[in-house]
Amino acid sequence: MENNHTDKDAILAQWLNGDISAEEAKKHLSDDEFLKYQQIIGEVDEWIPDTDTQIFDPQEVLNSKKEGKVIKLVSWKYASVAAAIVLAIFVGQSLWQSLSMIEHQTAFGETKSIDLPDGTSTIILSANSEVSWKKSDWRKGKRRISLKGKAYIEVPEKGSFDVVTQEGTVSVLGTRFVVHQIEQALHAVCYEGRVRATSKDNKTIELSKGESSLFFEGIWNPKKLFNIDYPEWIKDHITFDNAPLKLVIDELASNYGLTIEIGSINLARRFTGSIPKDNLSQSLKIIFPTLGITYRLEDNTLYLSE
Amino acid sequence: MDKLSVCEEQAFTTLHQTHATSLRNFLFYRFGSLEKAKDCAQEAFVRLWNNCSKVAFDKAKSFLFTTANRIFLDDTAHQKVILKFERRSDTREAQSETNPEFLYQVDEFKGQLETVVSNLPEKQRAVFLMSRIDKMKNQEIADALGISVKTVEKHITSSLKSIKADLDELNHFSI
Repeated sequence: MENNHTDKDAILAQWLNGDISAEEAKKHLSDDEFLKYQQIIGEVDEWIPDTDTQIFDPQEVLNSKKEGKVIKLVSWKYASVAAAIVLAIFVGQSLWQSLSMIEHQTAFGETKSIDLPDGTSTIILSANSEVSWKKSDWRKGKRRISLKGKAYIEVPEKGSFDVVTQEGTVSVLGTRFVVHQIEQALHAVCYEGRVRATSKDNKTIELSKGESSLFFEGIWNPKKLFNIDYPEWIKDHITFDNAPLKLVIDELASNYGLTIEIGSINLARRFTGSIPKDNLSQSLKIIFPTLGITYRLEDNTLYLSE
Repeated sequence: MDKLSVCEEQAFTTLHQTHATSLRNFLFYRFGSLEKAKDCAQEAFVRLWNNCSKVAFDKAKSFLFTTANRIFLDDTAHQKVILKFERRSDTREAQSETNPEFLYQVDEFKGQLETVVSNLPEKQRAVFLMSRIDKMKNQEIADALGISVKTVEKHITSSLKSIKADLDELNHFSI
């Protein structure tokens, strides 16, 4: 009986697999069994989940920039070497306290352009960020600033240029870049030229134009590629391309100075879209209804619920 | 000759053409929601694209299935699955004429079968439907899901046997 059972399974498997013909299979099964199996298979084989020919447009995936779109890099040009980097640094607290310190800060929703002491470099501070340096940081060909938050920095002249943070240092090997700071991570994005980022435990990564990497939980994540010339936040709008909701909410909070009560909503959800930097109610309308999230704004606190 | 890289748009598009539907279908068979299946399939492709330098071309398929499966599990509070299917074309009429020996009641058969299939254990069900609907070879299914061909075979035959047993029971009581 046991044996018979196993044999039948084997026959069934071979038949379903097309290894033996229906006639052959029929010999080993009872009429009733065979016809029932045939009827079941005949019906299921006709099934299809839906009649759509395309599940989704592959182009949507290929165009997903913010999360590290990969593009083929254009052929090298020797011409001008300009390095542009975005560094996102997530740090617990500020490091640099010194007497002869020059400091610039931005409020929520504010961006600010500042000239640096070498006369040619500039920094654009993002919302709720702080840059500082000492005079000694700019002597003997040294150029060094420290940063909390996020900034885009242009360094047109070659030479060393270091951005120091608690999480590590980013050195420009070319000329133009951005730095940003959040919690316990360092994000380096190179828009042009090359940049070297070194974590506090001396792990180094070099990035070329169109590459970014995130230092998080002790490692530099593999390079991601993108193809935009400037970070989105320099413009009037903040653009998200399939960004995790967590990131969207952080940007909202930092740009508008909000406290956000996320309740039980799922932060892993993705948002694609663009929000203005100076219109909170419009921003909220853009983000949440599309995700099926309801919101309530009260005393600068945003309450979210499904 | 370099190995084919997933980072090449063309390679990626090929992967999409080859696997998007079967991936979406797998998620649907397993979890039941067509819309969510689509979203998770797309998200798996996004993650593949983001990690294209880390994933070898010949590993892309199992990356997609593993990733999509995990995304779905992370995302879903598990609900009871009730699968509904369309038919490729309405062949029912023709079929019942050419096949007069239907033992199960033809009128309700599709509905009954959908219910019975929905009640199969989800892994079994997914494998069975990938084999029958998507016409995937046992080896292809095994590769995608990271299980042995023997297991695939077992899932398929067990599915068919329990479908029959359930239908028998259903018909026995409904008469």
